[in-house]
Amino acid sequence: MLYAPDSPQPRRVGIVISVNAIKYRAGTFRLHVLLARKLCALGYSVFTFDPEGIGDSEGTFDYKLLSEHYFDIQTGKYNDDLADAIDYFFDAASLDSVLLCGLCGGAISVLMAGTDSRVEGYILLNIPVLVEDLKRQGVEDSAAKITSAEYASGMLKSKFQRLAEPDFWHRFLTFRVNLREEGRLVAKSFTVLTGKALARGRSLVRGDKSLPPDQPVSSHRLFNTHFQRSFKQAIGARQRIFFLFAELDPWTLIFKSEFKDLALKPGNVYEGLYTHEVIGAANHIFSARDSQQLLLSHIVGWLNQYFAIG
Amino acid sequence: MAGFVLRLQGGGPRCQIATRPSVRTVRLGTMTNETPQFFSNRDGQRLFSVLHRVDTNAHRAVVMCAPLFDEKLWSHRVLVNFARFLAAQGAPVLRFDYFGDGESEGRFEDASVDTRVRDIHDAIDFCLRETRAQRIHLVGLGYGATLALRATLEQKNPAVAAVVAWAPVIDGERYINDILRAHLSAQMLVHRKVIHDREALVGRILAGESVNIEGYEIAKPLFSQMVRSDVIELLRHSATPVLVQQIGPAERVDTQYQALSQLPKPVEFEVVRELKFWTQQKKIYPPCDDLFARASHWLTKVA
Repeated sequence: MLYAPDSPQPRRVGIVISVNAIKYRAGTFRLHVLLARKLCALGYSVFTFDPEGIGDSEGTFDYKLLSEHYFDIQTGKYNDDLADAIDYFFDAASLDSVLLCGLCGGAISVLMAGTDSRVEGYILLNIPVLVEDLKRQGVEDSAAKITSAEYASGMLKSKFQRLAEPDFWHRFLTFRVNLREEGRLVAKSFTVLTGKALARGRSLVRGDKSLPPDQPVSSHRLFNTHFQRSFKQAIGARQRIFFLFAELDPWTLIFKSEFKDLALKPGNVYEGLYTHEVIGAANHIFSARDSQQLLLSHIVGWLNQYFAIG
Repeated sequence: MAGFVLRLQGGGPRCQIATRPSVRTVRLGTMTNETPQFFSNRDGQRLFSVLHRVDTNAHRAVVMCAPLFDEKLWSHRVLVNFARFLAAQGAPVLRFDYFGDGESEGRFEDASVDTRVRDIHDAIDFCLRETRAQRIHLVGLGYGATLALRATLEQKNPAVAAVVAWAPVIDGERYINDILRAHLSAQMLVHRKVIHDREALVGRILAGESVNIEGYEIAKPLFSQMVRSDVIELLRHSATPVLVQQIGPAERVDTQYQALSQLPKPVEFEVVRELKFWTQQKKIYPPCDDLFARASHWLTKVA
C-alpha cells in the first residue's frame, strides 16, 4: 500500500514500514496503518508491503515452528524483498530519499536490508539483538533474556515476592510449578548480577570509546552478529539510526546490556549518527493510546531534526 | 499478475494499491487474478478489499468475513489461501476489511457489530456487481462467522444462498470477557497488580469510555451488541443452508457447540481436526487441506 501526501513536498522523503516478523503489512492492531496515515498527513510518503509468502503476496511460507521463522527473519529472510520494495517505492513516489522503519523483527529486517545507497536512515522500534534459540524447539527461553542487572534484580525480587503468595504454594503443592525453569531463572539472575558487577569494574579500567572491529561485542551465546555487522555498515555509510524502545519491553534492557553499554559508550566517534530513546510505560507493541501518541511524537521529532520535508 | 497502480481519490491522504511483477523469481501458481481496491459502504466510508477473479462467468461468488482483533492477523494468510483455493476451482471470492479495521477507513472504536453487519451487506452488493454472480456464499471465521450468520439470518439477505461458519462465536458475552481478561494481564505487567477488575472495565465501557485491549479500543456499541446476540436461536429458524465447522485438535464436540450440533437441516455441523490457526500457535501456517476440501465440497454441493 502506498500512502501519498495530498500536496507535493519540496523534499520528497519516503518511509518503508516493514512487516513485524510474520504478521502482515497492517501490523499488530493495525499500528502500521495508523502510523502510515499520520506520517502521510504530515507530508511523508509511506509504503507497506507483504514479503513473499506473507499476507496477500505470492509464494509460500513453510509450515514450521514460529521460532524457526523468527530465526530466519532475524538473519535476513526479507533482505531481497525489502530491496525490491525500496526500488519500487523510490520510483513510484519519485522520492529524494528513503527511510526504513520496523518494529521488532521488522526492525532487524530493515537494518540488514539497508545496503541501498538511497537509504538515508532507520527508525528501529524495539530491535532484538539476540536470535531465537533453535535448540529450544519453540519453547520460550526466558532465562536467555536476563542480560542486565536491572532485569535480573527485578526477576529475583518478583520471585521472592511470589514466595509470600498463597497461590504460589498452592501451585507448588499441586505440582504445577516448573521447578527446573524457575531454578534456571533464579540461577541466571544471580549469574548476571555478579557478572555485571565484575564487568563494570573492567569497563572502568579499560575506558573503551570506539565501536569494536569485527568480533561480536557481546559474549551472549545468542547475540545476533548480523545486527552488529549491519549497524557498522549503516554507520559507515553515514546513515542515521533512531533506536526507539518501550520501557516495558525486555528488548530494551537486552539492547542496553548486550550492545549499547558495550559498543556505544559516551564519546564514541559515531555518536552523532544515532539516537537512542526509551518511551516510558510503553509495552512491546505500543498498544496503549498514550504510547502510540508518544511513539508518533518521538518519530516526528527525529524526522523534523534530520529529514524535514519543508 | 499484470503490474498496475490504482490511485484512489478521496479525503485525506491518498492510498495507492501497488502490485508489480517481482524482479526476482518467486514461486508462482498459488496466486489467482486478484484485484485490490477500495469500495464505499452505504455511509460513504472506503473499505479495503481484494477480489479474486475467475476467467469464466460464475453463478455464485464467495464473500469472506474475517474475524476480529488479533485473530484477523493470525488467520489472514489462511483466508487468503482458501480464497485462492476457491478461485482456482472457479468461484470468485471477495475479501474485505470492515470499517475501522485492517486497511479500511475509520477507527476501531467507532465500529460495532451493526456497522460490520452492514459492511457485509455492502460487500455482498459490491461482489454481485463486480462478478455478475447471482448468489453469494458467505464464509466466516470466529466472530466473523457470527457476523456472517447475523447478516444472513437477522436481515434475510436474499442473495445469500449458504453460509460456512468456521468456529463461530456462540456466546458473545464469554468471548468479550475472555478478551477483557487480556487487559488484566496487561495491568499486571505494568502495575504488578490489577487496578481495574473485569467489572470495573465493563462499567467504564458502559459509561461510554473505551477500554484498550492490546491496542484495540473497545467501546460500548461493540461490547453491548456482542453480549446480546443469540446465535443458536437464529440458527434454529434458519431457512438458509449453514455448515458449522468446529475447528481444533479435539475430536469430540465442544460444549459451546453441543446444542448447535443437534439442530436439524439446513444447519449441518462437523468437527474438523486442525490447529486453531486464528490464535498464536507454536507452528504456522497449517496447510488446512482437510478443512479447505470439506468446506469447498459442501459449498459445491449446496450450489
